[in-house]
Amino acid sequence: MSGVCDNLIKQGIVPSCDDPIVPGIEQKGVMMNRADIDFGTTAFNSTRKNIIETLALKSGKKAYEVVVMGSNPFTGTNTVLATGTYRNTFTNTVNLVVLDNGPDVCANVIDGLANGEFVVILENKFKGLNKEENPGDAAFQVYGWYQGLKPAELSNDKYSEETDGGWLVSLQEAKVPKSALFLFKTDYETTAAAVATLTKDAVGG
Amino acid sequence: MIVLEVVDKLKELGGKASLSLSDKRDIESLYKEVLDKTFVKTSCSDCYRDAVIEMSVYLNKNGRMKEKSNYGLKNGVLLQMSFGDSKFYTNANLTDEAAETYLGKYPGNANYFSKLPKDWKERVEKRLKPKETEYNQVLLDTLVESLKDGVSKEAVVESFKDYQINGKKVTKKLLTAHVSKALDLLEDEAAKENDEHYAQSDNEVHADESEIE
Repeated sequence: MSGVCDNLIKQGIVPSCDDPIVPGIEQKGVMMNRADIDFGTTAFNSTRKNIIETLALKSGKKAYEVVVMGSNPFTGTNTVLATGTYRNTFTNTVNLVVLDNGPDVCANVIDGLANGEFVVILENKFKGLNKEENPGDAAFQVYGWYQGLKPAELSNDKYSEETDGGWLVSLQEAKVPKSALFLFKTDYETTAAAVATLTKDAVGG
Repeated sequence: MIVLEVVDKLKELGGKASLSLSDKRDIESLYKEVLDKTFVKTSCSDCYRDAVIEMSVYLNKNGRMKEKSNYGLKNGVLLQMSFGDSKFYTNANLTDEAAETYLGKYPGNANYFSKLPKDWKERVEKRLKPKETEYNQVLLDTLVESLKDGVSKEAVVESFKDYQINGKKVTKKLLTAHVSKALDLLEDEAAKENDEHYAQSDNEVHADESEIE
């Protein structure tokens, strides 16, 4: 019936003994301006609609590495339910720290973050590599696809214990219709290779 | 520049304690030539040395400069010739052949490319066209003679399997193509002889008829 979506659970809630979930995110992620995404070229999996198979950027555009060191990189990154009148949605939050300051960082990063919309790909420590079907499809999670991640907090405290004078950044995406989006193509290695191409210097354009 | 010249130049640059402006220009230019990438200048003081190392490693590993492609992919795209194929192409290993083969299979995915030559459709068509076999005339003549002598096709293929063309052993596929061509030539020759025979017979019949009249 059209107009009625995702109102039913479709599988059991049983933790995997062979591939138990683990917390955390890897230290390296990728961030891109949402305006640089070539939505026309991007392809979703034909049956699994929370999987993007090809996430392409417009000609001449590239994404940028985001590296957050430490034992809990991107700490505070989460997804929560937001109840609505007619429909419930989700709010994504991605937190990062910029352990730097200075005119270049402020001009090229912070000022851009302050007013832009972004898509971030983070690699989960839990990758689902031991699943029977589509191993590795839980590795790369995409935030900001639907609405763009926008700044909720951008602060610089010269005496911060956390940032040592760098910048605390919190980006948020509200009214997200799906609980999560993943980037996955064929297997983990192929997907990792695709993610790696995002930050290369663009050819053509 | 040839590979050996580039290798020597990289050794020279790598050995310098400090790099002059001219050395940096050389590195930028070599970077494009060897890796087909544009060197991005940053404030990093080791970047030029890193670039020299990157080029040296590439040449050591591959023995040649990176093949320049007339095609470029949008960032984020990788090509697989068939769904789920473990082999894939990115800008790092894309060749004209791979791009055109892919576009031959999936012409609707031209939008995956950020760089396409203007005549890409013609190139793809040419790539898809089966290559015409280049026949070796000496081999062809020899095969025709063998077949004329009544040797079977299979026996001919067996006896010529080690035949060499320009110092290289002929492949089974190429030999079979030559044998088929030789058979066609024999058929054409036989058909021609038949036509000539009937034409001669016709002339004789007409001559007899004229005599009778």
